Amino acid sequence: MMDALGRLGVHLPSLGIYTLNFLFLWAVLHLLVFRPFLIRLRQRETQAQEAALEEQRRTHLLQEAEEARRRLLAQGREEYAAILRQAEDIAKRYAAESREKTEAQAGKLLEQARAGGEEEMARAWDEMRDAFAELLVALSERALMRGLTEEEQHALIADGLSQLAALGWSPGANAPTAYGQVTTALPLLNDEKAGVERFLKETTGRPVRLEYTVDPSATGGIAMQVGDTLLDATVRGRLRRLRVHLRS
Amino acid sequence: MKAQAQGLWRFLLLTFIALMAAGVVLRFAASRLFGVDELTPPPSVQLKAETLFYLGPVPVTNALLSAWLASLLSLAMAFLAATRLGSVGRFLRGAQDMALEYLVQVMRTVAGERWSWGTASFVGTLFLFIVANAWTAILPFYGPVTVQLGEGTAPLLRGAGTDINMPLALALLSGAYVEIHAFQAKGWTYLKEMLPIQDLFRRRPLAALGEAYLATLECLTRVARLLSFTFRLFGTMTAGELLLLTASFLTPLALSVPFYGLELLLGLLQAVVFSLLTLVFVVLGEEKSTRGQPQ
Repeated sequence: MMDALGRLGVHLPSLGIYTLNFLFLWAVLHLLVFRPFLIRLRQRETQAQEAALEEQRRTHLLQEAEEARRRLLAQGREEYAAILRQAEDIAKRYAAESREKTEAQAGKLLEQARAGGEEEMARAWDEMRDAFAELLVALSERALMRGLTEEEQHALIADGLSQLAALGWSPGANAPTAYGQVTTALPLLNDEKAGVERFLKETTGRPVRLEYTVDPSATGGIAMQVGDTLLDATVRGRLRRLRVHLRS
Repeated sequence: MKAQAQGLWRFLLLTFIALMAAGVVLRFAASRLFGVDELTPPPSVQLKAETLFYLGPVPVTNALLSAWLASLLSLAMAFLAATRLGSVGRFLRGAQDMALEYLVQVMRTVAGERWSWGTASFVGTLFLFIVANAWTAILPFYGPVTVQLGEGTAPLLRGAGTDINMPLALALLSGAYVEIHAFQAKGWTYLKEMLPIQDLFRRRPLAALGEAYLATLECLTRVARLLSFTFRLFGTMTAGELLLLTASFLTPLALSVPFYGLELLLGLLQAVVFSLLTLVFVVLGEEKSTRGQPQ
C-alpha cells in the first residue's frame, strides 16, 4: 500500500508543506478578503435593516398621520354638526323670541291702536255730540226766532227779570256811577223799562243810566250789563248755556 | 452588425489557416536546414513531481514551486483588491465582491441560513487555490523552461494538481474540516454515531454487531470520499496536462489552442466540484443522524 502510494508520489513532508501552504493561504485570505467582505456585508445588511426599520417607522407615521387626519376630520364633522345644531337652536330661539317680541309688540300696537280707536271714538262721539248740540241749538234758535210772537217775547223779558231777581244778583255795588246796557230782541215797552230801572236801582242801591239796545239775534228774553257784570237771560244765552251743558 | 461578424470570423479562420501552414512550412524548413527531426520533445509521463532542491527535510518539487507561485499570485490579487491600488486593484475589488456575492448566494442555497463565514472562507479558498493552480499550469513557460537535474532535465514548473500530494492534502484538509465541523455542531453525539459501542455495554451483542458494521461502512465511506476527492482532481489535472502535451506534439501550434480553452474550463469545473462537494459534506455533517429512528 505504502509502496503504491510512494510510486504515485505520496510523500509525507510534501503533504505537510502543501497543507501548511493551504492553511497559510486560507488564513491570509480570510483576513484580507473574507473578513472585510463579511464586515461590509454586515454593514450593508444593518443598513438595509435600518432602512427597512426606517421605512416601517415612516409607514407607521404615515398611518398615524392618516388616522389623525381621519380623526380630525370626524371631529371637525362632529363640531360642524354641533355648531350647525347650535346655530339652528339659536336661530329657532331667535325666531321664537322675535316672534314673541313681534307678537308682544303687535299686541301692544293693537292695544295702542285699540286705545287710540277708543279715544278717536270718544273724540268722534264728542264731536258728534258737539255737532248735535250745535245742531240742536241752531235748530232751537231758528225755531224760536221764527216762532216767538211779541207777547211771548215780552213774557220772556218779564220772566228774565223775575229770574234775575230770584238769583239775587248784585252788580257793581261799589261803583260810583252805574252805567248799564240792556239788550233785547225787540224794543222794550215803557213799563218794562221802568221795571228794569227799578230792579237795577234796588239791586245796586243807586240810580243807573241805561242804554237800550235791540238785537234780534238775542231771539227773546233780556240781557243786561252793569260794569263788568253781565246777566244774560236771553234765549240766545240760554241756548249757549245749553250747548255748553250738552258738550260737557 | 451581421456583416462585421462575418468579416471577423473570416479573419480568424484565415489567420488560423495561415498559422497552421506556417507551422508545417517552418517544421519542414527546419528539418531540412538544421537536420533536426523533432523540434518538440516527445511527451513523457512522469507521475511523481521532480524534486528541485531541499529545504531541510522538505523536498521542493517543481509542483510545489508552482503551488507557491499560484498562492503568491492569489495573494497579490487579494492584496491589490483589498487596497484597491490603481485601476487593476479596483477592477479586482469589483470582481472579488461579485465572486463573494455569488459565494454567499451559493452558501445560502446549499446550507440555508445556518451557513458560517468559516465554512465560506474555507470553501472559497479551496476554490481559489485549485483554480489558480489549474490556470497557472497552462501558462506558456510551464514545461519548456527546464532545469538540469543530475543526468536529465526537468521542467522548472509543473501544475501542482499533477502532484498527488496537493490533491491529497486538499482532500485530507477537506475531510478534516468536515469532521471537525460536524463534531462542533453535534458534540459527543457525533462520536456516538461514529463509534456506537453503547450497545456492547448494554449486552446487546447483535445490535452491537450491526452498529459496528454500520460504523465500518461510515469509515469506508469517508476513505472513499477522500480517495475520490484526491484522484478526481489529480486525474483531471494530469490528464489535462497530458492532453496539452500530446496536442502540442501531434498538431501544429494553432490546432492545440482549443485544448487550452478546454483546460481553463476543466480547471474551473474541478474547483467548483471540489469546493461544492466539501460544502455539501459540511452541511450533511451538521444534520442529525436518522440512524435507529423510525422512518
